[in-house]
Amino acid sequence: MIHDILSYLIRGYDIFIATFSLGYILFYIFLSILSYWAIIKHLKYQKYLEEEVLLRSNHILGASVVAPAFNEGVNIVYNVKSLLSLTYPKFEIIIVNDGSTDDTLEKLITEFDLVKIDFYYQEKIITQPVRGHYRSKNPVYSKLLVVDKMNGKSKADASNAGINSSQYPLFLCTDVDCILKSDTILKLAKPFMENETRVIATGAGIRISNSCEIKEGFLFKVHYPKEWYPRFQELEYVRSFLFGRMAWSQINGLLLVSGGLGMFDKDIVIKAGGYWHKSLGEDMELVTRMRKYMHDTNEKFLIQYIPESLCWTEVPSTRKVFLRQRIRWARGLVQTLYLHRKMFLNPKYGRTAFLVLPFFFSFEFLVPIIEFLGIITLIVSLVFGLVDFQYLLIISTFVYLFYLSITIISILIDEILYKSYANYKELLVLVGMAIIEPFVYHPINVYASLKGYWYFLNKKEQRWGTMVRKGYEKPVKK
Amino acid sequence: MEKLIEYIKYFVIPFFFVISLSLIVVLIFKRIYYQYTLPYKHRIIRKSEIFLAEIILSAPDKNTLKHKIAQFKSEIPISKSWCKEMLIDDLIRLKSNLKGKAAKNILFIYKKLDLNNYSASLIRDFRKHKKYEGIHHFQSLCYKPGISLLKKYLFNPNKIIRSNANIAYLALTKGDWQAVDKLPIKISIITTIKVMDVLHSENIPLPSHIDLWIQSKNPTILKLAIMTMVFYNYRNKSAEIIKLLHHEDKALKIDVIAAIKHLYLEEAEDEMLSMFYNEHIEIQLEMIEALAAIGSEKTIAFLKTEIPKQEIKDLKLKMVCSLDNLDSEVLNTLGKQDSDTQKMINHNRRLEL
Repeated sequence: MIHDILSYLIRGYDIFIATFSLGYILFYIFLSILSYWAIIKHLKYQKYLEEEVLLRSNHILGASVVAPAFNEGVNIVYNVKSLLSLTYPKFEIIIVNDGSTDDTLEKLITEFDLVKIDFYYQEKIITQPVRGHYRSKNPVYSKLLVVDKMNGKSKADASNAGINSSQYPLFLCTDVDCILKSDTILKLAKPFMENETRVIATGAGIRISNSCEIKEGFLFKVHYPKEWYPRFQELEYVRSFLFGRMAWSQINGLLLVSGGLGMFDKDIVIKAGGYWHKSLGEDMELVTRMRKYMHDTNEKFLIQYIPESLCWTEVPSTRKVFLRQRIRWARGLVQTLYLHRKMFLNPKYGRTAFLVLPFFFSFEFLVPIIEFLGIITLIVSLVFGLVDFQYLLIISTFVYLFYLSITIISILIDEILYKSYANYKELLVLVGMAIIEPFVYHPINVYASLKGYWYFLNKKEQRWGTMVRKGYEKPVKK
Repeated sequence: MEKLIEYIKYFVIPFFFVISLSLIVVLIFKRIYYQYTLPYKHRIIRKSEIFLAEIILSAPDKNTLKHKIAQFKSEIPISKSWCKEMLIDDLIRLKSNLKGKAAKNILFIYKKLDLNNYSASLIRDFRKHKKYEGIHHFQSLCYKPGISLLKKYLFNPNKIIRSNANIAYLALTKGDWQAVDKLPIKISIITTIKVMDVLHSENIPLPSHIDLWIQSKNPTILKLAIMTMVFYNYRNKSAEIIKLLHHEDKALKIDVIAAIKHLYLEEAEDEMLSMFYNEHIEIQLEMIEALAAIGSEKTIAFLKTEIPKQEIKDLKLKMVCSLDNLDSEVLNTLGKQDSDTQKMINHNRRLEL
């Protein structure tokens, strides 16, 4: 009797999985076509306007670079110098010292000759109290503004203080330790000026700096990471930035502009309420809220993505820090989906309601749960002798090969466009990582996601945690 | 279900297996080939750079030049597209940094290397992005014989081709605004930037029809007229410009206010003050900025009454900046009466150290 019931249940699960997988695969094929189309379109549009013309112009939109810093004393001076070296005719750098307990502020004051100024601070977005604003007496650093505030326990709060203090209509949100390409502002600001429809946000590719050659905050040579966790993350970044996000950009369905690198229309961000300080995925949550605001006000909008790597950042290289980051991301995802649940299938929110959110719910949120249920089903089937090994092997091989094709296509696109790696040996390692990823790296990700969901359900206290940065004190080949 | 499994087993899995394997092979061999050919390409690039720099800066006579070019052509793979593109990019880079006879030599080399025909073939190519590239070559290298070819694209239905062809045409003809009324109805910031760049870099004379443009019904032409008038500091049509303050197009209105500021059209003061209360905040902010440049006692009186009661902080801050520019003494008095105003004064005066 139990055997029969179980047999029925497992059969039902098999059918569900087959349907779900088919939907998943078809959608990913659709995304790959879109992505290819979007990249080609981007490359073709390059000659619409030469970037040198933009650099010469007085008519361009100004941009504020907002970079929150919490206990970044080790690298802060190099980081700020690196940001100040960006090329754009009209920009400012806003460093938000988020109540650091180390010598971040002191180092900034000494190195950049800063003095406290009378700044008429308008709290358009509510933040923790701001203690003061600093500017340099040295005209060389006239583009630098330092905001000193009480710690708000979140990057979101610090970013909001930076937005409140900014003077230009666009702002670029980044992490202070990120290394940006010199023309990053130009590349991200261009879509805001090119399009007749209002562009509310732009993003671009992020790469991993863990093994790159970095000297005093400047990137000298890109290398494929040497440590295991960063290696897998590199693979993940190539796939998700070049493949997924370009496709979503093509159909104006981007729900995530990375917190490490994103440019926003300040006016819309303020009207939407800024970053939510309680969010654990504040970048995704903000974009969702901005989309909601634009739909609510019936204004046409675009969120665009550029298939170029403009930012290099250090990623977790140990299992502990990696897990903490992924658990937070998973909580951020479920938190955002829950918070905006009323948007689901609501005709008022157009494709956000009928395509973007359902995709994130089904193929981002549900997948780890389904995979976990799959493992339980497999164990039960083994115990009761209900496993059809041939079926299992065929389906698993099929899914694996599909995943591998998609990943290799992403690497190939990246290689054709940018040749990011030093030599073919690094590419071989990357391909090797792609082959073993589903067995080695993916299970850890699934575990982190499930733990994140569990913490969300348990309302466990949210913490950002810290990632110890390696300094750039000496020129290093990391 | 079993049929599906069979299908996956015998068709889908082998298909994806072959695809994955082929992609890996392509990826690796492509890279190996790239690494293998890179030193050769670098040698050619280096050779071209040396040749171009030497020949342009030494300015030899025509016969020597012809001989050297012929010799250079035999040493490089000139038939390859990458080589042609590399040479054109080098020429464009040199052109933007040189003037006089050296710049003329660039055009001569461009023609002698037959690169002009390559650019023309790009313009004639059916692919749009190739057309953009070819147009860009003609414009950047000031290739005037290309005008006749560009003319065909002035009214092209594709807005990017039309825009680029018009800008290139404008640059090469030094001010023939042939297709001005065919510009897109909604002019993007990019088009504005491109037009201004050409006006600036090519020393184009003031268009003869500028007085007619300002009477156009098309907001794009009006915008262009205003921008051009500001660029040439042309104040003859101030009454017409001020009249445009009542235009329904918000973006145009902002341009008009900016023009009033840049052209110092003091006669617009009364009009702006009377319109102020009925305008959107964005327009109000622009007006205050313009009044800071052209304002008289009337503006000072207006700001003196308005600052204490203004509740929109952005607007108040702008007003404080404006009054500081016009009469800082009056502003100091206001600051003494209201701490918020005083904070704004401090902000304004201490922001730039």
